[in-house]
Amino acid sequence: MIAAIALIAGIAAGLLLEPTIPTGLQPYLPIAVVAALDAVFGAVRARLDGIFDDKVFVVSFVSNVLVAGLIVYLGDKLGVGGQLSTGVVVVLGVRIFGNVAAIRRHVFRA
Amino acid sequence: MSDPRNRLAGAPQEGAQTWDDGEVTQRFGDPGGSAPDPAAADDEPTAVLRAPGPVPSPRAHTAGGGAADEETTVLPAQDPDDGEPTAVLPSAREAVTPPPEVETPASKQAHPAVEEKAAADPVAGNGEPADVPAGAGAAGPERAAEAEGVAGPEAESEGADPEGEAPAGEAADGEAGTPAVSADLAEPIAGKRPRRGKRRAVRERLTRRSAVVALLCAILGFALAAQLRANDAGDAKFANLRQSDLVQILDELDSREKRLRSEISDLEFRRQNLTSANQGSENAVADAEKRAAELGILAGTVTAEGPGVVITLKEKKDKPLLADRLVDAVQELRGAGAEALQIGGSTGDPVRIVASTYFTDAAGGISVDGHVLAAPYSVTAIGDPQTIDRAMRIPGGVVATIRQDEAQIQIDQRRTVQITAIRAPRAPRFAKPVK
Repeated sequence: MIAAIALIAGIAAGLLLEPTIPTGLQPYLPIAVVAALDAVFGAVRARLDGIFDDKVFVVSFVSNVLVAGLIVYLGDKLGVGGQLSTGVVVVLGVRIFGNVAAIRRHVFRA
Repeated sequence: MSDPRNRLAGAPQEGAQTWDDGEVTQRFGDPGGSAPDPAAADDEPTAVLRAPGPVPSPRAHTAGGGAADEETTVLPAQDPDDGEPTAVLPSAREAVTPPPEVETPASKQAHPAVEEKAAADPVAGNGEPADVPAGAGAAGPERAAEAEGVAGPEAESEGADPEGEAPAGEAADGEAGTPAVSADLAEPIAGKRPRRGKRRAVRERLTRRSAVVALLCAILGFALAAQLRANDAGDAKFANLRQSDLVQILDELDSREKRLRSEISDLEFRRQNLTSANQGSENAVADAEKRAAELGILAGTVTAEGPGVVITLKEKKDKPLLADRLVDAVQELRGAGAEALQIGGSTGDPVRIVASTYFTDAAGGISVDGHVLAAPYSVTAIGDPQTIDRAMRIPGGVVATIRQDEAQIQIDQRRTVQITAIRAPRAPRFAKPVK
């Protein structure tokens, strides 16, 4: 509940404040957002499964973001940043789909 | 140092298999087991020193660990959250049970282990000691589970203020202290007391953790919105791209620019052609118009003016001029370069003289193209007046011939004469232009 409210508040703040993304972060923010979304969907699923754990969420959230950013950073340094970020997005997208499917089964029983 | 803890904490760890956020994973060191370790490590020595004498050394260790951090005491209670509790709790509880209060009084006294337990139970809030006397290994987890169920929602509704709850928890401790006198009495009460304590612990934990979770969610939302904003802004579209992409885009733009430039030059060339062609057609039109005007003068379809002469012919009474004379005069005028001719009489409209004009004698005058004109006649010609005049006066020419007929002829040279009569053009029935 609090998390959802916080999420909405964050979105509202982002929309209202119109922050300028630091140049250094610009290539990584989209990936980080997707990674964080993956963690959030996983958390929702865990919550529905009754096995939600805050710590696990926090750790996975942070690590997801960091690892995704690291992969993209490495990819940039290796000259395959575009491909790697695509790969990261694909993997995270698959995971998100899986989690959404599980959530769907919980919510709609189908 | 680590041995007892490992032992104690180890059990829950092994048993603790949980779901990762995203997937099923093995959870290393469930929070309850792992968290207390570091904190305990600091305080352990003291705890050990204090409680070397008494039998329950492991408890003393654990007590120290628990006491070190309120959080750490809180943590073990988390196990139930994950759904591990039943297997884990009994051992973990024993290890971690005694909170700070326990240390000071209980560890110093340290003689009656049973009392210690009893006293520790309420204070600890975990209720594990109560379990011990009660001897109900099974009862523990259930209670814990209940406590969770109860505490969870409350904690959420309260939001994050551990301090606010703290007093209540302490109060509970104080209350708990009294019943602790007898272990027997504690048993029945234990059912409730531990719950309260646990609630407090769970609340604290939940509030802090949920605060962190909320913070992360807020950050996510913020970043998401910022990213959306950034992507919305047109120029920022490129700001997020990496170098290779930008280079590619630049290349594409370059080639596109080239294409467009060549297209531009093509189109300009075509435009030039078209405009020149347009000029050509204008010239052609002008030429055609000019030619049409010239031909119109020749064909007698347009009026004309220019320098020329006006020739007046007056016949003598009873001796009319014959059409031959007029034909001769017209021929002579044409020969002298007259470009447009018309003939008028005292009656009738003037008639334009063209290539097909004919003269016939008619009653009361001369018929020109079917129009009967009466004397005196006046012939208007556009051309060089002097040339015409000379041509007419040639010996044996028009003037001489007409004077032989005893008629009068007068030639007036004029700077400007006007030919007003026109002839309707007649479309040729048979002749067609050759292309």
